[in-house]
Amino acid sequence: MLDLSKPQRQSTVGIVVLFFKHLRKAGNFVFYFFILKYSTNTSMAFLWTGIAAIAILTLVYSILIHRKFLFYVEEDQFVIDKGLFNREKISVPFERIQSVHIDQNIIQRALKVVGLKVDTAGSGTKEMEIAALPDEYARSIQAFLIEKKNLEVLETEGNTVESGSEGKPKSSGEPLIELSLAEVLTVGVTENHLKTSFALFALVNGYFWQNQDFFSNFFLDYIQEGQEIWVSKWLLILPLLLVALLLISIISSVVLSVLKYYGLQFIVSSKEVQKISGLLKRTEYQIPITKIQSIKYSSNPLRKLFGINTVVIKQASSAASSDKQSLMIPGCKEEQLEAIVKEFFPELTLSSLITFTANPYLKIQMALVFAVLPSIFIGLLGFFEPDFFALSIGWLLIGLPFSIKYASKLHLDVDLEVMRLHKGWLFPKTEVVKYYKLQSVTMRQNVFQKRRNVAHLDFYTASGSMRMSQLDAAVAVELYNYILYKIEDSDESWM
Amino acid sequence: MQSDLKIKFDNPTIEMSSLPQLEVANFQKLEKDYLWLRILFTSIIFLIVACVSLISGITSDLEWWQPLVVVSTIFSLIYLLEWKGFEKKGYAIRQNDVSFKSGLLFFSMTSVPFNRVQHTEVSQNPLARLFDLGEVKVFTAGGASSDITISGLKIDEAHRLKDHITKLSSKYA
Repeated sequence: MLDLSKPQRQSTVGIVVLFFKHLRKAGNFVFYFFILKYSTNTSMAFLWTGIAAIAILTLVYSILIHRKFLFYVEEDQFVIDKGLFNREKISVPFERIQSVHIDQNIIQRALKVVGLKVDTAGSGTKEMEIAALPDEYARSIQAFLIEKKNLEVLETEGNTVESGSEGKPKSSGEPLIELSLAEVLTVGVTENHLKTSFALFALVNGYFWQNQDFFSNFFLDYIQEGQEIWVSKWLLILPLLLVALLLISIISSVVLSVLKYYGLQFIVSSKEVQKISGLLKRTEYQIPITKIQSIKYSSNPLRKLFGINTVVIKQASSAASSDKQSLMIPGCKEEQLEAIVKEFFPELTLSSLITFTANPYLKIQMALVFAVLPSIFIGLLGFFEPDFFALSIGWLLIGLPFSIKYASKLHLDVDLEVMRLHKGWLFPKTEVVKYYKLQSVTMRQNVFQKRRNVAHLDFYTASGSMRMSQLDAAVAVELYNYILYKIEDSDESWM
Repeated sequence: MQSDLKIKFDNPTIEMSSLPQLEVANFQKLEKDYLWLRILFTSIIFLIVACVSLISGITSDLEWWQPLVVVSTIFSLIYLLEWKGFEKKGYAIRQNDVSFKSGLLFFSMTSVPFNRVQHTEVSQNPLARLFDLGEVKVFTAGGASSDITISGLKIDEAHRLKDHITKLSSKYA
């Protein structure tokens, strides 16, 4: 039987898991040995000694860390006692445990152990992670903690939990969504490559400048030689470089999405939703149904061609970093998306939706901010460099239809229990939320909006906020009152 | 899920006009002393900035009064905004929610239903103590921008208001 009253140590093979984990950090030092080796005239033996020394130090460190790592249960708290130089005792009361995850990376898989992670509700969260446990043992700890937590919560909240945890009977284990390898590849190929290449460029650039001395010594000859070619043939080289960057970004997106989303399964049971995914590192992530605050789905032009969406299930979180707390399912086909929305918002019936669009003033505002003003600014630069005049006109011609189209797409659908906010044209984003999940409502109106008689509405949930911009003031007031009434009228618990 | 259905049955279509409306008339004005508190606070800042600008006026190539004129113009605008903006501030307590509004140039109005209040707090800074004023903070789970702070209350009133909100919100806890 599971006995956690005495301090427990993780599996001995945990040393190996920790070793590889620490080795990744130590790898940075290896790079500096390479720099030393090639920038000065030291021998090959020096390099190998350096690498060996780092490896041995890391191993010793890992063994000591492993020795000092203990976990146990003390009264109604789960405790981890760890640290070599900084002794740390992290304890979390059962009731504050948000969820318990099990994952497995390639090393853990080879050693037939799993990692266990405990998420807590509350800001300033400390990392509670056990690196290596036998699978069965980890699952019994997981079950134990969740059971303890549910007991605690029941005690403090009385009967209110029952209605939430009962739900409808549904056979768990049968995934609502499963991604095939082809679908995972599609997700990678249809990534926003402009964004990825930009990030990639920034990363490489940063690394280059950081170690500028090394690189400039190393490549000096090539650079000098290259300069002449560059000046004469830049028209040819530049597009080639861009294509190369794009290719690298496509390949890295595909590789990353296979690593992250391979064999993705999304399972809905009566108490929680669960996502299992990953090629080398199998992660299991679950969110209790009652903690779900809203569901957001988005797409991009490429993905629209394939008819796929990215769905994000947002969870209540006290920290501002809500992205880490949410569950993302990429590559949902239209019918799968519909299935998810139907699963969580059975009340949402298209027939009873009332749609509110933004006042036409939004189009003027968007056109001014994103097309006209930037184009005037670029145009002013034209007095110094005439090329900018053309750029200014180009910006205006492209920016104007884009911003107007964007503004015309914004709308809010309102139902008896649910509302749905739709934003964006090329990159459409839609968020669906039940009224009783809202925390508060704000109406905003600045002096310009007052003259135009329009206002913004902000809706706050425990997982972030949503804004409907530039509603007619009268409509905004009506919606404000209606939605407040819906929150107050509901006796459902928001989590 | 079941109670969802129940609500639907209890509430067929809702006439927008029959909903409780949050009108301007519902709102209570803040204590006049709060305006004086704000003006005193602004004046302290003004005094400090004026001293700095005077010193920089004397030590630089400019005429000694030039920076002071700029600073005074800016501050007279701030005074005007404080004065006019005070009229816009107000709070409303209804059966099921608490609301606060403010802002002359950037008006905003936030309502927090009692069944979403996490906790409440009364606070008083040293300057407010001079005027016997305090403020009530109402926290929700929606993050800082969804919380409201009702400022400009007499301290006894603030405590009474806090107790009132706590009592009404504890029904749901």
